[in-house]
Amino acid sequence: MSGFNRRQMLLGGAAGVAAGAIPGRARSTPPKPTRLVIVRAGGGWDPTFCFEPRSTDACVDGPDLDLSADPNDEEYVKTIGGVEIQCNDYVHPTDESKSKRPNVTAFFEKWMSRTAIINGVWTGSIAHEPATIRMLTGTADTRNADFGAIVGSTYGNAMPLGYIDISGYSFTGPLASSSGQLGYKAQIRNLTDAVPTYVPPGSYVDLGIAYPLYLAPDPDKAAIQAYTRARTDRFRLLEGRGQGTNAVHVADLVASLDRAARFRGEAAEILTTLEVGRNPSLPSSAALAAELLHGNLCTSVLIDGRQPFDTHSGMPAQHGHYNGLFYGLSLLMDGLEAYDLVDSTMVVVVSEMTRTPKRNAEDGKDHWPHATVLAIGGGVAGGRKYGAYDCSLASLPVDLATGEAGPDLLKYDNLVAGILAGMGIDSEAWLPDVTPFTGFHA
Amino acid sequence: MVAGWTMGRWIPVWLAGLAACGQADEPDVGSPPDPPTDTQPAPDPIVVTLAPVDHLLRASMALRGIRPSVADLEAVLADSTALTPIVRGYAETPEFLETIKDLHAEMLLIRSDTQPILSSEGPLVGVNPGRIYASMNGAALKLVEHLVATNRPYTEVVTADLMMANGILAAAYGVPFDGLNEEDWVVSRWVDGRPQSGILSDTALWLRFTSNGNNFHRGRANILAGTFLCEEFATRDITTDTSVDLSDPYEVAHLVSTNANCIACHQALDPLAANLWGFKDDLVPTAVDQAYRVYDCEGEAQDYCYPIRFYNPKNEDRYGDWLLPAPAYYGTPVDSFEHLGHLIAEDERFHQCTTRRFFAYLTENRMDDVPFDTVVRFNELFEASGFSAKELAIQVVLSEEFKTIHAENGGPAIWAGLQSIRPEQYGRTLADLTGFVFLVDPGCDGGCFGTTDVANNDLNGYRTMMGGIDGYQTTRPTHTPIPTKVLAMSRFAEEAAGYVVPRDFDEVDPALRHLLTLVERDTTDEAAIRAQLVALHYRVFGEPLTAGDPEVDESYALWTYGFETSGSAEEAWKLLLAAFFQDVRMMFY
Repeated sequence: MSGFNRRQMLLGGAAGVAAGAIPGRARSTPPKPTRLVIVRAGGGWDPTFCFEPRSTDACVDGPDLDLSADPNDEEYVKTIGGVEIQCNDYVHPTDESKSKRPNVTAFFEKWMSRTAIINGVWTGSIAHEPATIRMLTGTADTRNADFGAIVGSTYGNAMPLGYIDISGYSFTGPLASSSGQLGYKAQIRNLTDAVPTYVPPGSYVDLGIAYPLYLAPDPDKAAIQAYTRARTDRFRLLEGRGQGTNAVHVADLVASLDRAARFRGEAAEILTTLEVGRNPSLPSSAALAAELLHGNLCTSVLIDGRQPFDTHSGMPAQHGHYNGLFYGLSLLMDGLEAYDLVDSTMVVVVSEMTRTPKRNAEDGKDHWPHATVLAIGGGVAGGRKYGAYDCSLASLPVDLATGEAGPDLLKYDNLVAGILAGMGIDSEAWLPDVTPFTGFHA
Repeated sequence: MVAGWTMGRWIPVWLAGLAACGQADEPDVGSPPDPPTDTQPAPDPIVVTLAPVDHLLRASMALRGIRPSVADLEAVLADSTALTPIVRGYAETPEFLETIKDLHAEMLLIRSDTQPILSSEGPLVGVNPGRIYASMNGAALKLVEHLVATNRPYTEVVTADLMMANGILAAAYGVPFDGLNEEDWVVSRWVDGRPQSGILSDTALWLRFTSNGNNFHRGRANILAGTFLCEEFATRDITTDTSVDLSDPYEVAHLVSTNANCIACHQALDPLAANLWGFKDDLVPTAVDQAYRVYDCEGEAQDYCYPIRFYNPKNEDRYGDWLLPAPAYYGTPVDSFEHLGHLIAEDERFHQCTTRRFFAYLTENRMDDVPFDTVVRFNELFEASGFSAKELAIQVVLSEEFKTIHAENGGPAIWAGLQSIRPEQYGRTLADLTGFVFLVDPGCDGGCFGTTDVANNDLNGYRTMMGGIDGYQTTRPTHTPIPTKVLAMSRFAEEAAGYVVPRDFDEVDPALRHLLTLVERDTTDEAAIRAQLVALHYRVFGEPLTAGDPEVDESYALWTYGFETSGSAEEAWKLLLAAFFQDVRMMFY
């Protein structure tokens, strides 16, 4: 341990940015959103299927290559709310896997006015994990927190958890103590439910072991917590234990004890929508995200789109992945709308990369370091595109303040800084010397 | 397209400087503020080191994942020079080998139970997927364990002319097996024409890191460089030349050897990748299902039936089909995969990377944070020991860095700080203290995974939620308390307490009990309770206290609360031990 880094030094001050401490803004400026949902569209989607309408030409292979003989299977460019989208609403009469992307059209017809399509974001990598790290943290270093964790720690201090990761892909860095995962198969429920449901293996049953072997009643849990807190307070007074990064770790324990107790108390009912032993689907994750935000259990959620966009072979699979993802996005937005949370919630849909312009010999496309990101809802000037691609789907330079053509490459760090700024967070505190991309701000 | 954009390609001027692998400047988020420039006297250095007993506990946890015995504590309390031989003894225990496997699981990211597992078909019908996973993904770790246990030079990790197999792998890979039971692990050999290069030859490693489309094993070569040499290519920002058709592998092959943006990485990466052409790109579990159920294991489907044919010597030279460079290792031509292993083994970068990894793992620091001077110093010891993994680990835990808990204005350049217990360590610690291993049967929804160790599993367990890694989505551990770790430790603690208390009381001979050696079910006498608490503080936390110590007062107060609310001394001990097992001194060591 070689001392604090700048991010850790900022931890103590980050909480102060929360409610009431946001720098003053003009009265006409709409309030910044304080809630965030990140949807991971992992693997690398192909923007020509939606955000960057293209037919096959010298530069690009487009989705038109996948047309069947059915006359209803039609690729077309539709202007929705003034924005051109590549559409194909074909629904196969008997085989859903052969349908195209009707859910994409349906989503934009309802939500285009609240959606910013940000094209041409340079990802800096063509490997999945490094690109994901960059697109979520704005840096190449997993020591740094992703923007979900930053939002969670900024606005979620009064909540049981700031940031809840339903996907498993978060980077929490120094903000780990305000973040939490729910488990690959919703194991969290066995930690929050009054009585856990896990069962012993047969060899244990033969020995007469039946779970739970001991279940401390709630008052006893409180007694244990009080005992642990008191011991922790004395522990931190021991030489060296309360200094430097050790102090941060001990503070993380204290915070985690408090958050864990509150989460167990407040989240149990909402988490009953999860089924222990089942990996949550996109629809259930989307519904849960809205519930978690509505229940004030957190301010930031990361969910997985559960669509394997990494189509190195078989590009036609992108149709189904788009269709599935946008079905889930519609459920998410409808859920937020039902709780009147659209204005206070920014939804960011991130694919860590895109795909090469042309198809390879296996009818697939490989990795491409120029990405498209969606920002939807609160704080977003929707109903338009920002940034752009060239003929070969390479990022074109932008004016970072407007999203129009300009002098700067729109990099992953500009994007993350822009998302933070769009949520009223001082991006300079987290990404020093990075110009935030603010063009899409309302 | 936005109106007004030029169609020409835009290549930013600043990217021109990135030709050397495109290493772009990252925002400086880790630099401390500049030091004051006035002439104030330098502050006095503050260096806090652990007392010998605390050092012993930390070394025991780091090397074994369990607490030191009371006898070891007594020995060091009486004479601090006893610490070194005791610690050396720890490196000879089975628990140290478990730590070695934990370390290498983090290195290879091979404990990835949330990912699809090859099917229970053919000779594996009736074998739980969990056992297939544990066998396949455990083989490389077993090999490292075997080499360390038998005091072989650590460099043999990438050169060993053997592999480890159990009965399940014998069926899955078709390798020789002479174990008595299916679960036995024995020394074996690959028999499919595959070169024998230690863990580099492991099937599960290259199933964890597959090769896609036209990637032609470059991703795998990046893993080799990053994992074994600490020189990952993919962490560097890259630029691509969009003037070429990257869907055409021949054009890419030309580009990576001629284009300035590409050449700096690919001139090393592609020849390294050329060493891996004997391995299949991938093997998706559904291919095994289909091979059995659709193709009846005939024709090309044979490759996907057990024994799996994951390596084919005939493919070793196929890089030439795509006009890619011949196998080499950073400029040195490579004759064979064995040769590659030996080149890595002889590479100073491999030695230093290993040293860096061991130091970082055992002190819970980031590998990148370990100063080069520190690496060099420990690497000299590592080399002088004949590349003994045990000696390297021992030297780390006996070092000043390891026993330094805090430093300001002086002291070592890097130190250990408070260590946060890892999930695997926590599982072992509770097992050692109580005899309880938290095993569950997750049932058969989605496939019968089989008995699951909750501390070392993510599919149905809590490893990542307790700060560990799942080898796939979460690839770096979290070394600080987090809410889900607190929740999971609470559950573990209660189960372990519920396990040990009645069993200890059922055991007539106190010497055979785990923890409650000084009291009986009906003991309520304060002096006896306090004596037991003193013993527990010593055994569980390494705290040498007296019966009148304020810490014992607090523990006695908790026990009394439990007794008064339940009316049962046994229930009070459950409550007390549940608290102990989630205590601050359990979370940190």
